[in-house]
Amino acid sequence: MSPVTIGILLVIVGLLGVATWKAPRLTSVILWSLVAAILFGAVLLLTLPFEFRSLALWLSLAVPLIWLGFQFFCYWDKKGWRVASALITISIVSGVVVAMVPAPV
Amino acid sequence: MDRARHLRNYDLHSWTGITLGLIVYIVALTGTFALFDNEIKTWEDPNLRVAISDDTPPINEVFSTWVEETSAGGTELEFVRLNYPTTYTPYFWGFIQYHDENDEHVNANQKWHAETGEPIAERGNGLSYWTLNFHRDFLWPTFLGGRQIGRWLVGIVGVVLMLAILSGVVAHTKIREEAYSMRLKRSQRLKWQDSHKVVGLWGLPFYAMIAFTGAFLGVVGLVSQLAAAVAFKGDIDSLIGAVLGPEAERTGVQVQMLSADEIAQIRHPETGVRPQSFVVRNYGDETSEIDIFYAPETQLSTVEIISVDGATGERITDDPFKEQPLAGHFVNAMSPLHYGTYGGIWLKFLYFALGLSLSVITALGSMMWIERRKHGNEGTKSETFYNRLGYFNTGVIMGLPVAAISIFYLDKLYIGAESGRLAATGSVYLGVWVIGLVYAFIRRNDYSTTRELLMLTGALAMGIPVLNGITTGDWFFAHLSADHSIAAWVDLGMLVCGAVTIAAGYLSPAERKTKRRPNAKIAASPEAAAIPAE
Repeated sequence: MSPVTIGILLVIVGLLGVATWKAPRLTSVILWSLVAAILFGAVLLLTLPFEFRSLALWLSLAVPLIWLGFQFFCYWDKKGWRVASALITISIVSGVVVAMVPAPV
Repeated sequence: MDRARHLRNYDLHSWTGITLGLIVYIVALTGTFALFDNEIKTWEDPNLRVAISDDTPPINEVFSTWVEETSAGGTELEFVRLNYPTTYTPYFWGFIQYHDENDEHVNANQKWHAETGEPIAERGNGLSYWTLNFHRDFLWPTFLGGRQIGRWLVGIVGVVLMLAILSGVVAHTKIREEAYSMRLKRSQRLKWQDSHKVVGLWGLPFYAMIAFTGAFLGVVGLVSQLAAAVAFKGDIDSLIGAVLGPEAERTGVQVQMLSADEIAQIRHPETGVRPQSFVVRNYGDETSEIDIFYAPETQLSTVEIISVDGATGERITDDPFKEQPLAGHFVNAMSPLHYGTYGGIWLKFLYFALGLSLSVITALGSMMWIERRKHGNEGTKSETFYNRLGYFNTGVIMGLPVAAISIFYLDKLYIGAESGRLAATGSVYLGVWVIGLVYAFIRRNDYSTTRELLMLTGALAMGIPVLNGITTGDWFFAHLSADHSIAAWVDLGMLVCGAVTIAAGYLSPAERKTKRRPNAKIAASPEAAAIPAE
């Protein structure tokens, strides 16, 4: 990865950090809920012990609902920072699981 | 629920509505037209107003010659498809996709007359194409990323609508009382508020269903595929293989394919119906397979597919990827559920009424938001700001139905080349919409604008049967009981809807009647002093 790319990525991460700090609920409802839904959906696809094709179809129905659930949670919890940190934690843990579990053959 | 949480939830409902409410309105209103895609197709093209008989002419020779001649010089024929004539598409319709000598994908299609088998001249995409696809993806322009982006946006609108519904239900703590509360003799804002709640609560199951199926049809291509792609660490080929099964490679051994006329005789083994269409993969090769599409036994499904060997016609039953799991039935039901194609024309009318009510709810939501700030105590900006916001809101809301009806006129009065029909349709649609918006700003009275544009929409709709009668000679009253009466019923539907719309416009107030109670900031502003009190 070139230094320019790394620089751009760092700027994006910095901006996201500032946005999350200043407006945790808004950033979460727009961005973190989507990231968490995608990564959590991937984890379910990799880890649930069902026939793969059937599971993929069920998850195609479920992932939009998971996204909706995360979005709703953004304005439900009392603390804004707790919303953002919960969604970021789900995303990180899911990312680690996806990296560790091999894709089905 | 504690008060702080209630307020947060109420804010979520309010802001999802105000930020994306107009887009939800556009998708909902265009959806009510898109429901009648097949009927509008028949209305727009007089060549389609023919009844289909059971005895269709042989098509194989014409079709296979067209396939060979069109793909000659190409390197690989990817797939071949033929649709047999149906009520709404009363012609044979062939499609092929192949690689040309530069290895580029090329698509071609051709229509043939259902009775004579003669080629039918291509009519350019226009009214029905615009109506359906503006709802699906806004016909999002290529220079902004193409139509897939538009489809995702529409899908995201579905998710936002689900969020607005969920937060709306949670926000209304007295659902039972509110479902029956209509204070028609109180202020304008209370009337809007009660209508928003009552219609919203009674139509809740429909709105939840339409939002979910819409989100699924639009955004599932983005979110679920992204999730799957992440699970496969970006290896899309492995993902497709895991979901769809392995694809048979060509061996190069040529075989005689089943003819299109033979396939037409392969009835469904359980229901006995004839095929609607078929798709051939590895055309002409010994590994060729034909997927034959039938009308499903239950209409809450898009199609039923039976796969057969391309040369022998033997059914392929031992392939687990051809067997539909339970989840597949659910996924397959999304489109019929969304477009109301599973219960005949009366179900579509019910969908039309409920879809229209969804547009009204979203419009009322944004109107109330502005009204509260303009005449209540929630506004923090100047009155001029809220006035302009109101004009914009009214122009977008009331200009859209006028635009949607005006392209019916364009369709019948268009005299340019067929290749330019779609561009002309889009220009008229967007142009009329912008004129509606400008009119709202010139009129400077949201009530009068709403009233006048409603009546204009109604008058234009009532003129559609006359337009059709003059330009095609098909007067609707003479064809209502004919063998092919779909276009006549479109005319009659437009006549009735037009009359109802005019009546609604006539009954609407021309100006705000209740006394204004300006908020402190607006009352103190210099602009407020210059505005005469109502």
